[in-house]
Amino acid sequence: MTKEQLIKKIAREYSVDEIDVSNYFESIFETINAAFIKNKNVNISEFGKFVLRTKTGTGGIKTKTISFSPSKKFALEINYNFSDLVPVKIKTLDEKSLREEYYEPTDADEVILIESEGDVVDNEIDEKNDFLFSQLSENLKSRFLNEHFADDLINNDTPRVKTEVIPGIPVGEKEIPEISAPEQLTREQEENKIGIEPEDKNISSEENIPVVLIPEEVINGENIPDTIIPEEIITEKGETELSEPEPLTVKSDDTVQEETQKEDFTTFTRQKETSSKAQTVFSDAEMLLIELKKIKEKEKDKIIYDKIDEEKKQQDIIDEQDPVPVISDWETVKSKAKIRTEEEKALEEELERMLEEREKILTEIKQLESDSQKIIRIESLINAFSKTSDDLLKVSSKPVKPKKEFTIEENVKAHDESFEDKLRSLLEPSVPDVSAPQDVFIQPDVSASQDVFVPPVVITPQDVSDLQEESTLPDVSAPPDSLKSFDISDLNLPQDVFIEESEDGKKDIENAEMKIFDKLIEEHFASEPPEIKPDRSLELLEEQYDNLIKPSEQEPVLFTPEKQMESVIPEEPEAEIESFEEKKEDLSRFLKPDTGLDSLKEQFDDLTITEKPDEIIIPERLEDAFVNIELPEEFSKAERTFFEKDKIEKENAVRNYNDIFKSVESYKPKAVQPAKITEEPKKTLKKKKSMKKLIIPIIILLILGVIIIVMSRPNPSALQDDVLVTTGTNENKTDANKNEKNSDAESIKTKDVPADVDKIIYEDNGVYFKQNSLGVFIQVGTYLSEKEAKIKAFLLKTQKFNADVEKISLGKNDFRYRVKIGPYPDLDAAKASFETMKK
Amino acid sequence: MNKDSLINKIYVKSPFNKNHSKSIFNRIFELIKGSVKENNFFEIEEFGEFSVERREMKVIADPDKMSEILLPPKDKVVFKPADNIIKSVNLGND
Repeated sequence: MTKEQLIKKIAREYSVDEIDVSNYFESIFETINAAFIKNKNVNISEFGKFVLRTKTGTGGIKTKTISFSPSKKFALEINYNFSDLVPVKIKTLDEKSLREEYYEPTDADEVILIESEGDVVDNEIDEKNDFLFSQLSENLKSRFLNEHFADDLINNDTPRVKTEVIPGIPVGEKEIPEISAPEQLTREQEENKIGIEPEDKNISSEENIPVVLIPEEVINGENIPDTIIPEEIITEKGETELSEPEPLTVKSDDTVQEETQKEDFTTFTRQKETSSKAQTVFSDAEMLLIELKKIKEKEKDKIIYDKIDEEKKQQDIIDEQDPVPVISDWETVKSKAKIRTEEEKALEEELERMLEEREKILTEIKQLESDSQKIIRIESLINAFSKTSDDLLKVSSKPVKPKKEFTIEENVKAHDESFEDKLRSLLEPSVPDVSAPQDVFIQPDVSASQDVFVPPVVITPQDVSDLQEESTLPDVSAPPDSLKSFDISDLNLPQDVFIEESEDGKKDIENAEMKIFDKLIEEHFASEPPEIKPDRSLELLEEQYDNLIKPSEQEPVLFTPEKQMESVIPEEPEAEIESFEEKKEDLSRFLKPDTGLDSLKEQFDDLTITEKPDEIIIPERLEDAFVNIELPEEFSKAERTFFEKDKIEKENAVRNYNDIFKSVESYKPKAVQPAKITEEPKKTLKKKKSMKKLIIPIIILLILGVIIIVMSRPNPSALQDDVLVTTGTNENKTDANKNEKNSDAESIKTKDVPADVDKIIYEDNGVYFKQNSLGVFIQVGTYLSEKEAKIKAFLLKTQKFNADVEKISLGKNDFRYRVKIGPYPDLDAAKASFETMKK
Repeated sequence: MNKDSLINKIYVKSPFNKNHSKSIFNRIFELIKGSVKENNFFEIEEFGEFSVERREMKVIADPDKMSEILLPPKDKVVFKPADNIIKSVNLGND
């Protein structure tokens, strides 16, 4: 789009004249130009910013340029192709690598490079090339070389020979015409730039010829062309122009050294250019390398994935070989599991059964134990009966033999043995042992008789447990075979005892039993039993207790109020207390608490009876009591002074208190006043009354006097003067204003003169002639202000009149000021002066 | 100088009112932008020319981060002022 198109478009859009639009368009850029000239930057929002910048050109000349920075939106719109791309960090650099790769060589560096014949740079580049290209594939290498070094390098493999060739000149010619190279810098300039002094200053300008590298084959080979193909000179516009063929000449041998130097220089410049190009190539190559790396990584990943897949496949194969149990198999496993569980359940049930059985057995054992106890009792009884019955039968015929009685000890021992042994031991006769321990008893059989003392049998739980533990019975639940087979008939008991089941028989048995037990007891006690001493511990304790409670003579007296009283007061024999009252008194005396006050009271009573003091002062307060204390002589001086001070202070305090008390009492209404006090006020009253009588007439007289004075004061002249004031002031005011500045008027003194002193003799147009003891005066005027009066008097004095000011009081703060001239000896003289004054 | 101040200065000389001139002003620059986008070039006589230049990608060293960074390619708007403007701007220096 051109400017014209733009204008036309806008004109169409806005339906405006094109000329107006073009004018507007031009005016826009004119104003922007004007802003640039004024060194102002122009910022057009949503378009961009025009900024003025100064640049230092060659020779330090500063020039201003205008740069344009587009707005963000505009820049993004333009850069839409690469807006997604972001700068990428390729690699981290060391300081060394940074210096080597990105260090801008200074002039000094360049000097070094030239001294080393330009090989260093070349080598470096080659190394770099090798380093980079070693990583690249051959295709990539060739591609990059063709792209970037096609112009500079004809063939990478062909050796390069540095020859100076003038473009367009045939090689065969020996003489080369002098051609100036206008575009390139001269050697001197270059040397100056680099900082090298030229070895030979006589180098002509013809040496500054551009150098072209030609392959060795081309020079040494047979196919040397007669003329070098004319180069394509690329102009700035991009158009190609063929240069005209020029004759090529080879230089003479005299300038070989110079030429070599020139060659070096040219090669150096060429190498520099190539290095810059190479850098760009390397960057591209590195980018490619990165891509390659990525590709390799991807390949690696692929390999890894492949491996994983292979492993999976292998696993699948292994699984196929050893397949996982199928669902049906699983069912079998489950069934097995079920079977197992059933087995377990069965075992559990068995266990439960066993436990139940065990419990049952235990209960049976307990029952058996209880039964066994009963059996033991029964057996013991039976045994006893059997023996007694035998004895009874034998008593009649044979003498009494020592009886074998069933002892408790044996019975207890029998517990330790097996059931059978126990029973056998029971059946066998045993020797009584009195020394058996008393704490083991067998419960007496109540059914036997109440009178017979049978020691109670106490089977402790320990015994039972011991029995349970020690019993060798394998199955307690199952009674032993001996017991099963046991029958009472096996015992050698008298048949009569059990056969006769009638009531009579029972009675007989009871009687027999009674007899047996009696005998047993008799026998038991017949043998001298060990004397059991009664336990006197309780008695001893009781005695001790009594001793504790009952006071003994040796024991210390406990502190009790009664005992204290006894200790304080001597005991009186009871015989001496005769009457009940006395006893009562004694008791009251004892019972009453003994305090110090009572004793004091008693003392006081004694004193009252025997020695009555003059005055007993009972202090109302403790402080007062302390005041009257007389200090003993033992006290030191300091203590004395301290106490005296205290005394004084306390006395003062007491006095003060008393005073206050008295003052308070004085305010109290007095019912009866003493006679002496009443006489004195009467006199004063009388005096006051008389004074009043005197004062009243005096005041009246004074008032009258004042009235008289006031009445006598009013003066007609004063009234006239007032009239004069009103008339005369206006006239004189003008004069007074004229001479306000004259301060001498203040020097005139006013005279206080009563108003009614002078007498008016003559009047002439408001001017009064007054006569006085001194003479005749002309009253010129009266003024309210003293100042005006004085000014008037002063003016008259200037005219040689003897003028004065008189102050007249007409009331409180009401004054008049008269101006008088005189005194004159008579009225005529006064008149004459007045006329002169008029003139 | 601001856009508004620029418009204020221009519309006084022009036959359009302020709003009208403002809209025309904006439209002109929109069209310039469009032409730069389309043709990569727009020339204003006696003022200068706007063109789009491509900056190729390049590797740079960031000495602060001690790293080598590859900058992507970029299309850039470039303004080349007219000679007469540069002359007029540099008149004071001469």
